[in-house]
Amino acid sequence: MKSAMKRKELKQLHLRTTGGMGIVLEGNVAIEALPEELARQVQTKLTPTNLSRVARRKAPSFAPGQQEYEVTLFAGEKSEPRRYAFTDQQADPELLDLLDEITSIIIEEKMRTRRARRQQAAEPKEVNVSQEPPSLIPTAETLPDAGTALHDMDDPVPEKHEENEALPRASQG
Amino acid sequence: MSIEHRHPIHCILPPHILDAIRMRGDEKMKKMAERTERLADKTRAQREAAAPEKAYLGTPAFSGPTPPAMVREVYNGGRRVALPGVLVRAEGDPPVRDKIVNKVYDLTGKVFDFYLGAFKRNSIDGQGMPIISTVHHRRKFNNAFWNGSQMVFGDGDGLLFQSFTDLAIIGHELSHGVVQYSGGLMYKDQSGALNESFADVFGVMTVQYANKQTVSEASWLVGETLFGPEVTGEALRSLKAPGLAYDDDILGKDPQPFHMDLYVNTSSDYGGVHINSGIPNHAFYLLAQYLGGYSWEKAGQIWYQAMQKLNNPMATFADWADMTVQTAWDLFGQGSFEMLMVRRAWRLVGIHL
Repeated sequence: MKSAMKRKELKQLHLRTTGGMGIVLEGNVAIEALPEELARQVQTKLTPTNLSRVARRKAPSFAPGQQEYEVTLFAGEKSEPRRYAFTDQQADPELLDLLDEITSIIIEEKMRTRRARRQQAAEPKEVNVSQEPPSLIPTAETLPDAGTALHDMDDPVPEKHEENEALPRASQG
Repeated sequence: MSIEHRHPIHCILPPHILDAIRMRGDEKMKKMAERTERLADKTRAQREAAAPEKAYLGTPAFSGPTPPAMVREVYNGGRRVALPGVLVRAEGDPPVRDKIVNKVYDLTGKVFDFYLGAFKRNSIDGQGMPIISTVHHRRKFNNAFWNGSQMVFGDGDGLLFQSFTDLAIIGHELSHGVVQYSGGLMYKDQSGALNESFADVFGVMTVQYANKQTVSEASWLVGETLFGPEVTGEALRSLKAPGLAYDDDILGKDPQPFHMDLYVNTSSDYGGVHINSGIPNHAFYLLAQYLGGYSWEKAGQIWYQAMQKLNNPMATFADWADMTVQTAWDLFGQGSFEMLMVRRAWRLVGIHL
């Protein structure tokens, strides 16, 4: 009974920030991939109860360019995602610190991915025979060795290979 | 999916009306607005809603034998949330070790000089209001904003964004204060986009004034020094070519339209205030090109005086365009080249008057 009432653990979250100069940043974070202490903070502070309280809090004043946040919580496949929208004027300082930390992780991860992609694109491509598309033309490597396939040598060459008769074959070497 | 929004409807008056009263009313009216929202008392709300709003009569231009003195204060936010932080440099103080503090101190001075020199406006409120800035706000904070009484600047994450202390951005944020003390524009939908556009226009004009650039020499960009080296883009926004300022695989593509046919209907970003501002931004750019010379001499005067006369916190693009034509008429005469070019600039962005 007790375990059934246990709060569902957060598996993943989606964070979207907008505002200020109009910059939009967003990304997904898998909780298990976060550093232990940060993951603990996320599990305790980014709860439906806390975020619901923040989202319902009245924004104290008019502020052009204030930051807006949308946090979507995913507790598992069987749970419905929950989304909360609020501004930095509604949030507690501790929550803002945490969101800054998560934003920073999202950006770092995106930058790492981009750098890797750019690096890969910039590297000179080596011609690697093994990476070439598989050929239907039999070669020394693809043909069975002489000892085990003597009887095969008498078999007719498959029809689709006939047009390549002129190519060297292992048995002809 | 369950969605929770931040504006529970507790009161009879729509939130934007209460926001307008909070922004433009005197202390008594501000308290009234807050009470109205808090208590949701229909009778009281209706009675107090009938109270006349304080009419905005325009900021008087400075006129005196000696130029007014500016009052600057720069605070160090210490990478925390609380504002304003610790005062590190006040007006007349010598430079400190922190380069960002000195940069903001100097650049806020340039914005003050711009408003005084070009429009005879004495600071944000026209009455010598201290210019308060906080730098190093929060950790790796990718933002700069005006919170109603001061400017706040983040350091940026160091990857996508550098420090948000670019002259056009400081001019932009301070200009939000000018809008607030010029009658105000609600920060939502078209009036919010006009608020953003005014801030962009006067942000780029600050740069042009400081560098004595003509309309053809200027870059017309906001946030030229903002992006990190790996970002694909010139700046955050372009008044010359809205929608083409950046195209980056992380930041996405600059979403600004340059014409009403491309107007973006959205509920996010307060109704697209940073997006649709591209339309009035481009109208100003076109006008400045038609009139030539220095942008603040003619086009800027029309925009600035129109803001002083607007007196409509919920103005639409068409309301604003009307006011700029009217102002051009007042400043340069009926049927003048300037007035015709204002009308033409609006027509080219899809606003027909």
